[in-house]
Amino acid sequence: MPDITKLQRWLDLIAFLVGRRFPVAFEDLASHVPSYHAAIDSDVERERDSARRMFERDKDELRALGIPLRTLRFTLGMAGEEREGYAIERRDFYLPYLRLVQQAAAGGGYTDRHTVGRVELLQSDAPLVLEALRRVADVPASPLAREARSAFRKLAFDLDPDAFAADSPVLFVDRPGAAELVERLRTLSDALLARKRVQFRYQGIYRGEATEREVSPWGLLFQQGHWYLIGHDSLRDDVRVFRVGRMEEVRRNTRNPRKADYEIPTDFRLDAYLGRQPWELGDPEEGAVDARVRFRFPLALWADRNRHGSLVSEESGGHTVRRFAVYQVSAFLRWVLGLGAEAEVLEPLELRAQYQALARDIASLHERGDDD
Amino acid sequence: MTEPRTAQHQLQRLLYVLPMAARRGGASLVELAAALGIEVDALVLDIEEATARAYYLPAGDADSMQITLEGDRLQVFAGGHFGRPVRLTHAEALALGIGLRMLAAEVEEPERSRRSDLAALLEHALVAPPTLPAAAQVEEPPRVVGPRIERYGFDADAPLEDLEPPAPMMRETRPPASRPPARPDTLVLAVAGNGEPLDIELGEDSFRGLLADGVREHRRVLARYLRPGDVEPRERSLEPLRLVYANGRWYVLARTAGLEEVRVYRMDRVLDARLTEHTFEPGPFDASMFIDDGGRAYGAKDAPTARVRYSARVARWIGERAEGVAGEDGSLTVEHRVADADWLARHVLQYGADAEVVGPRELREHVARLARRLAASA
Repeated sequence: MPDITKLQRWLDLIAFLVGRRFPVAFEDLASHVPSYHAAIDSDVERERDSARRMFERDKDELRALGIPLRTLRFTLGMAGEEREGYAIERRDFYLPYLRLVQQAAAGGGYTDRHTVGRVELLQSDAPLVLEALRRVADVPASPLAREARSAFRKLAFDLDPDAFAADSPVLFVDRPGAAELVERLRTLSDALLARKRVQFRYQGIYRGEATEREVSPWGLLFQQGHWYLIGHDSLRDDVRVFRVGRMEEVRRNTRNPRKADYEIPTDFRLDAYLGRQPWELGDPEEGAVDARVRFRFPLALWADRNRHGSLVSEESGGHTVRRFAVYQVSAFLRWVLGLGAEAEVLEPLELRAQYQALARDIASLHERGDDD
Repeated sequence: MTEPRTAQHQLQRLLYVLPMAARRGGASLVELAAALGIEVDALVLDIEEATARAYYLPAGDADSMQITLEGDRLQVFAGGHFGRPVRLTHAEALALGIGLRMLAAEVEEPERSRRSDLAALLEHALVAPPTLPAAAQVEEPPRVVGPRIERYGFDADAPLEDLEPPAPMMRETRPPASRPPARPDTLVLAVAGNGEPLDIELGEDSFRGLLADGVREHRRVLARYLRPGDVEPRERSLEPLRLVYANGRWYVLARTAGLEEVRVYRMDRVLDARLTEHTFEPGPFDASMFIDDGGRAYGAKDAPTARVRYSARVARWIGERAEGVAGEDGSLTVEHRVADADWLARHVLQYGADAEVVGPRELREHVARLARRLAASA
C-alpha cells in the first residue's frame, strides 16, 4: 500500500464522519479509515497507541481549520454502556443555503430562521455582502485578506459574483513594501488569538538601534496607514506599542502550541489606543497640558468636521477656540505649525512661547545662506 | 503565484473545488485556479493527490464518488458528499463582519444599524460552531428524541435552535467616555483579545458612504469643499469616480461637473455633501494614474519639484514613506512635486527645524515668510 498522505487521511476521516446519523467510537472509526486501520490492527501496543495519537492530532488540526468535529457521549445497547464517539454534523459542516428574498420577514430586519442550513438574505444586500469581503481583502497588508477571499469564494457559491458584478468604489493603495508586512501580521494575529508570545528585532525610531524583543500580544490595530502591535514587552516589563513595519524576523513561540503562554489583563482596553493623535499618547499619570488653539474661519469648519479637540468658544467672523489635552508638546506644536497661519496656539502662555520660538527657528533656517 | 502546499491549505482548496465541480457540468480548471489564486498545475497536483487512492471515501461507500478530468472540465460525482462549501471559519466570519461594519460606518442611521445587524446575523449563522478546548472536549448529547434516538442521544436532523449558539466572537467597541470618537478621516481596524476575542473600531464618515454611492450609481454629488488657503469653502458639483485610501488618508477622485480634468480631493476637507439625482457618464478612467511611486494620491503630475532636506532626527521616519538621497550627516533629501506652495510650507513647518527647503529659492523664501508671520503672531 502506498503511503497515505495527511491530506488523504483527513479526507478519509471527514468523508467517513460527515452526515453519519450517530457518533462513531474511535475503534469503529479506525477500522474504516485506512491510516488508522493499519496501526490499530497491530499486535504491538505502541503502534496501536500511535494510531490514537495520530487521530488526536488530526482532530485538533481539523478543528483549528474550522471543521466541526465533535466529541459526544452516547449509550450503547440495552445495557446502556456509555461510550465516547465522534461526529461531524451536516448542518455544522456545510454552509447554509443563502436564500435571496425580496423583502425581509415580517417584523422588519433580518430573521435567521434557524432551520437547518438556510439563511434568508435580502436580494439588495447580496452585493453588499460581497463588497464587504472585497473591502477587507483590499485593506493594505490586511492579515485577513486570505480569509476574506476564501469567504468570498464560499458565499459566491450561492451569490453569483457575475450577477452582482460591480467595481468596488474604493481603491486601497498599499505603501511600498506593504506586501512584506502580510506574513508578519499573520504570525502576530495567529499568536494573539492563540495567546502565544512572539519575538522580533525592533528598529526603534528614537533610540536608533535594533533591539531583540519578546512580547505577549494584546492587540493589533491599523490606523493612519500603519499596523501596530500592543502588548507586554518583557524587555521593558511594561505595555508598549510597536509599529509592525519596524519589526524584523517575527517568530511565534512554538513550545506547547496548544497551551496559552499568557492571559490578557481584564482591564486592558485596546480602544484606548484607537484614533489617537501622536500628541495624545502619553503617560496619564504625568498629566496633560491643557492647550487652547484658535482656528480661523474657514479652518474652524474643518476642525469641527474632523472633531479636533473640543469647542471652547465661537468668535465673531466664524473663528473658534478649541481645547486639547496634550501629552507630547513637540508633536502638538508641529501639528499646529503645519496648519499654517490659519491656526495659532493661545494658551498656556508657555506653550505659545514655545510655538513662536519654533516658528522663529524655522524662519532662521530658511533665511540663512542659500544652499541651492 | 506561490501558494503553500501544506495539508491545511490543500484541504481548504479541495473543500472549495469539490462542490464547485460537483455542480451540473462541472467546473473549469482555469477558473477554479484563478478563483483560488494558484496556478492550474498546482491545482492539478492537489486533485491528483486527493484521487491517488481508490478508497479514500467512506468505507462501504467507495463507489459513490468519482472525479473526472476532461480537457479543462473537472467533474465530481459525489453522491451527496461535498456538495456544498463548508461553513465559514471564525477568521472568515471575522473578515465578513469587519467588512460589513466598514460599510455600516459609512452610512447614516437607520441603515448603519441595519448593516451592523446584518453583520451580526451572518457571523452567527454562517460560522462553523466553536470547537471546545482540549480540556472540555466531551459534550453532553444535545438532544434526546424518540426511543431509537434516545439510545444514542443524538439526532442528525435536529433543528439549529436546539444547539448552543456560537459564543459571541466579535463586538463593536464603544469608546469609553475619556476617549475622543473615532475621527471620520481614519480607517482603524483592531484585533484585541480581551474577554471577547476580537474588537473592531472604524472611523465613521457618512460622506464617504455617500460619495461611494455616487461612484457606484454615477450620480453627481454637491459638495462643500475647503481648499487649503481658501478664504471660504466652495460649493462644487462633483462627479465622483473613485474613493482612494492612500498613505493613511481618504481621498475622492472626481471631475467637476462639465469639466474633463480629474482632481484629487481630500475627504477630511469635504465639509458637507449631498447626493443629487443628476447622473453622469464616467467614461474611461484609471485611478492608478493618480497614485505616485510612494503610494500617495496625487493630482498634479506636471507640477515642479522642490527638494527638502530632513535632519538625521527625522530621516528614518521620512525614509519609511519616501525615497531620497542620504547625506553623510544622516540627513535625507527628498524631492516633492509641489502644485501648491502653501502645501509645501505647511509640510515643512510640521517638522519644525528638522526640515528645510533646499530649493528652489522662491519656495524657500515662501516658507521663511510664513514662519516669520507665525513667530510674530501676538
